Amino acid sequence: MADLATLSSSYPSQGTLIATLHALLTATPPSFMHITDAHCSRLTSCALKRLLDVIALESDHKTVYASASISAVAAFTPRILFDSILNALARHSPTWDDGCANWSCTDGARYNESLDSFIWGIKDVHDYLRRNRNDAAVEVRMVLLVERAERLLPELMVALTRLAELTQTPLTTIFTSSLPWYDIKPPLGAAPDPYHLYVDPPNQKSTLQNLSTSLTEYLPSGSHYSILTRISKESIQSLQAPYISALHSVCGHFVSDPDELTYLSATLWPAFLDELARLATEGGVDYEEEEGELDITDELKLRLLKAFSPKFREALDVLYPRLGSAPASSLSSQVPSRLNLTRTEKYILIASYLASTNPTKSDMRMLYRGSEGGRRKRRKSSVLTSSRKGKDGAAIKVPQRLLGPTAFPLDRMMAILGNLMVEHEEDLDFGNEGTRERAAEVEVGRAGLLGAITTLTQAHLLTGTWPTYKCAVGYEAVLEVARDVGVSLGERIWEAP
Amino acid sequence: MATVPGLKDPNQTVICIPYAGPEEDQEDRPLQVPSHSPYTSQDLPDGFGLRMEVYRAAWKECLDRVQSIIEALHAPKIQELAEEVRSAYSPSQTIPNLPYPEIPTFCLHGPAAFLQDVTREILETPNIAGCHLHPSDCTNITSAMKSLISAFVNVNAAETNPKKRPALSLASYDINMLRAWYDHLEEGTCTQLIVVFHQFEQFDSAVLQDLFYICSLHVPELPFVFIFSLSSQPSPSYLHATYPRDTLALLRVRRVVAPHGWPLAKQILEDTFFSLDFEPEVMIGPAVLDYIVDYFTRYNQSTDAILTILQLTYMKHYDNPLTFFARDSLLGTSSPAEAEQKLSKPTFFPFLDALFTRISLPSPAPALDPLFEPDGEPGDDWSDVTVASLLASMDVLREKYKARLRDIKVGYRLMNLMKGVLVKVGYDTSAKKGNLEVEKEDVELMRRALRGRCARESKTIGAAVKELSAAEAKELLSSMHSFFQDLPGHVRRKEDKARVKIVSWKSQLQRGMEEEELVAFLEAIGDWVTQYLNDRLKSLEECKLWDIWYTGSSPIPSEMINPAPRATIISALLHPYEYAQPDTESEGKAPHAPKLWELPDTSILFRRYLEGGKMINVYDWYESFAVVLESQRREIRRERRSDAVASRNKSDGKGKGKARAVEDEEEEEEGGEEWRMQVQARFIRALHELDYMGFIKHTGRKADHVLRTVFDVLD
Repeated sequence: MADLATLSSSYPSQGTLIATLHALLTATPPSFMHITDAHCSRLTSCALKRLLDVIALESDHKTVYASASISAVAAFTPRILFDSILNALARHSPTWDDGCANWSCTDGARYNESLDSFIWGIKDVHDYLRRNRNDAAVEVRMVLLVERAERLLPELMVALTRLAELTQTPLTTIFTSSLPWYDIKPPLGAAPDPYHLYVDPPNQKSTLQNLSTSLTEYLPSGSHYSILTRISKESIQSLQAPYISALHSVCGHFVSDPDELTYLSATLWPAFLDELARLATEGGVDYEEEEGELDITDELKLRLLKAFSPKFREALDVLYPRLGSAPASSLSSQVPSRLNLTRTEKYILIASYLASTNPTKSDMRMLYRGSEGGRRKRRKSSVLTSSRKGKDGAAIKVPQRLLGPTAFPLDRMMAILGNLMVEHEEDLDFGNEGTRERAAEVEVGRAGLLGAITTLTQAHLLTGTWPTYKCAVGYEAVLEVARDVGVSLGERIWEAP
Repeated sequence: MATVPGLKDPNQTVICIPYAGPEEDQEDRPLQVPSHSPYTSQDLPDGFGLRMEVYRAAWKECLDRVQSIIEALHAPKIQELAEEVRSAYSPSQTIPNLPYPEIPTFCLHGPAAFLQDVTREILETPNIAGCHLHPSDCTNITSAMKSLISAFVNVNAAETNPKKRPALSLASYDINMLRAWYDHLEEGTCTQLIVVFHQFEQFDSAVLQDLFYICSLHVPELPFVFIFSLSSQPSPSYLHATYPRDTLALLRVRRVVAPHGWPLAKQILEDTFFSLDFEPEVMIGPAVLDYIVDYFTRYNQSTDAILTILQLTYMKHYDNPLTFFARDSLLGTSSPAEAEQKLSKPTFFPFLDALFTRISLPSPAPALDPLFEPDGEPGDDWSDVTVASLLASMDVLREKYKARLRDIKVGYRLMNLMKGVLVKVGYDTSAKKGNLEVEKEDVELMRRALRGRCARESKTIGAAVKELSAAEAKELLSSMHSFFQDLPGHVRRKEDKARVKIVSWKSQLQRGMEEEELVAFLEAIGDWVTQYLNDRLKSLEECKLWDIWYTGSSPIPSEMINPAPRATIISALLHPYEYAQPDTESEGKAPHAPKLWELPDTSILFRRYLEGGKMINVYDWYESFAVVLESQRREIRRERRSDAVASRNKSDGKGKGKARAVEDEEEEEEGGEEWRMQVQARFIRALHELDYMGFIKHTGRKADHVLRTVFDVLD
């Protein structure tokens, strides 16, 4: 039982689940269970695997436990699924020298051909486990754990849920998934209803506990500061609790997954120690001169946390979406700050943003530069329109910019693009009034430009397929791009902010 | 057609398909296309082949140079990266306390050659097993896993595993098999399993997500290292745009960007065309540099773009018949005597005539040019000229051109060097806007140097020199000294005067001098620098026959690199004769717009198409087409009647189709059934051609109607 207690303490948010499951499996196991965990499924699977190991150790002369845990994603064909389950239940690991042979109770028996042979395989494993004990009275209990069950091959789902019934063996199937059962269950009620278990979302206490158990190695191996070696391990350890609670107080609001927080804490910890060393070296002569072990004063601790706290937020912005990766020493430099586009791509981006936000009917007014020279300045001021509408009592229209992009046909974007280029590209020779439109059309239809559209689609700055696209870039990014090429975006947007 | 080298090679950017004469069975030969080259009359009979040879040699030289530059630029990055990959699992690279181990991943943004160099470098290391995955291997997860596992397992294990019975053992796509294989290896024989994903953008992301997940379940027991090869820019990031966060969380991504953009372009151009130890056969002119700058900013910032442009420039350059003199005057023979003999044949006379005329013309700007001594100038007395002397004078001209080019290079290099020193000591020599595009400015400077328009720069530099302090002047002089010292032998001899001057200045400065003395001293240096640079940086076009070695301001045929297909097709349909007979106007014919009935069938139909509405009734279309054909027939008949003998040739010469020829025979029969059949056939053929080009959309909505796809065509 001691093992169970340590298990519960290392997986605090799964504590209830572990206890329940242990009780169920050792007493009267149901044949099919489903565990829903929408919050930290990786941790739950780890906990369950550990639990199964613990239970297997509890085998005695009366009962023998055997278990197999597989991931439904990894079992992408029935054969892999069958092989892995049988090998795991029989505790057989194929070796290379043996020709990677699967487990079989008699030489040449094959269990991975079909579901039928697999069921015979389960029976054979059951017999084999019982025979191993040389005791007729021994009871064999088998547990099959399937992670990410929502990805299970549909043709196998029903069979696995009814495996105990099909094989007539004491076997428990446990599905874990981040989705609830009714979202993944096979149609027509083919599967029996499972015994439902839920994992609670992690609360602050359990998360903090999780964080502190994961932070076990205190000194990073490759630190630049020799001073760290002079600080005693205990005093560094004493920094752990304030470090973790500071981290949690900043990042906990945005990220609830304990895995992510652990990742953040692990990647930031070396930087945190470096900061400590820096403060300690610059902080005072007394640290330098003293020989032997150093102590961390409360004052230093406070200064350290204060100096370091902005880093948490910064690291969260970069590390959570994995824009950069650890080591965290140079996080901000890892993120390419601006879009690296060619001039043509920039124009396309601006034109497609306009096509996505402006109403089609406004194109002529907003963009066309007619033969009389100069754009027609009949643009309605957005401020005026909205206030007038407001006064009339009619519903105020929300600007398209806030509603998200609309799809546009390629031709419309090209027309906008042509007009933009005529007006802003002095380098290209569009000739005089008469030939300008034609020249622009030629310029817009160039192979390089059409290729750039594909490039942008590939980079997901445009979405959609020929011939309708959507602009997938926000106002700020387009504004920056427009500034680069000298287009004043504000004049072109129908409802300018 | 089968003999074209490189046609099947997907890595070729440009392939030259030599014209092999008209195909025999080409039924449709209406428009006899004369050669476009304006030089035909002056060319040698075997000129094309000769120039092709010279072109190949010259381009190969240039290409090798560019590639070696790129390689040299890549080398340090590759070393650094290989080191990181090797230490991917060492404690200094990994972070302790992570919730789960990540897969070290390297994202290479760069051309395929870069990836090849990297993988070669990495996979050479012992203890590392590598595997290449291509998008075609990974159409689904089973085949992806199979290729991944078999690539590792089958390398050296085929002989060691005789006991394997496929049905009774693990599946070949089961990762446990890889695990078993890895476990059986002795400790340390294989420390990393490197998986290289080629053309990463082309992979199915759903398959790779599963692949990454499965692999991550077995890390670090199986020490995977992934290398992605991406051709897209690092920002916006393809990886982050395509893969969800939970997949990215399995990887520890490190980006590596191959040298790219302006720094690379500048380096390539400078070291190929402005290098003192490399003399390319063809010097690119400012027009090409302009185009490179333009194309680079506008469309494509890759080395391939530069290479393509350069290759096209070379190709176009060797269109000029004189260019086989670029390398030597042997004309493809092995000795000057043979060349002379060859040239003395009567068929070569038009060429000789043209060449002689070119040589006898006065040099474009002889007065400005101290290098051209009046004596020895070929063509002084036309009666003395023999073929041999003509060839010899070509050699003289070539040497003169080369000397001039060296001058420009020395001038450009020295200017750059001085600019660098001056900037370092705090003088701003040019109005640079921000640091972002310094290299772009440098390319512009190259352009100006070639045009001989650097007077402003040399003046600024001279002025800046005059304001230096003694210590700064010392620094400048010593770097100038080492510049002249390091020149390659043949150039150094020529610049000896300048070198001696600098040495003496240097020693003067070393001795120390008074304030006023220094001012006068610097004044002298500044004036000398301005003068020296001005002397060196003069336009290459002042050389005689420069067009053999220098592309000058002849524009690059940009339509070939960056065509506008839609506009071209439409305008070709509207004005077919402008495409098929480009030199009618040069021959002095009055440029007359052909009447509708004079156009080919497809063009007639297209004109009618443009007059239609959004949807076209096919029968109406046919009727209007038939009217035009009717008038065409009438016109031709009238012509024939008026000029019974010449009419046939004339109508052929104008380029009517075979249809017209056929029509001639049948013309006698009065518009019977036969004629209607013919009109129908021609209509259908023209219709299908338009359909093929995408001008028609078929909808089932309205019977006998087709939808237009092109509107508002600007004529």
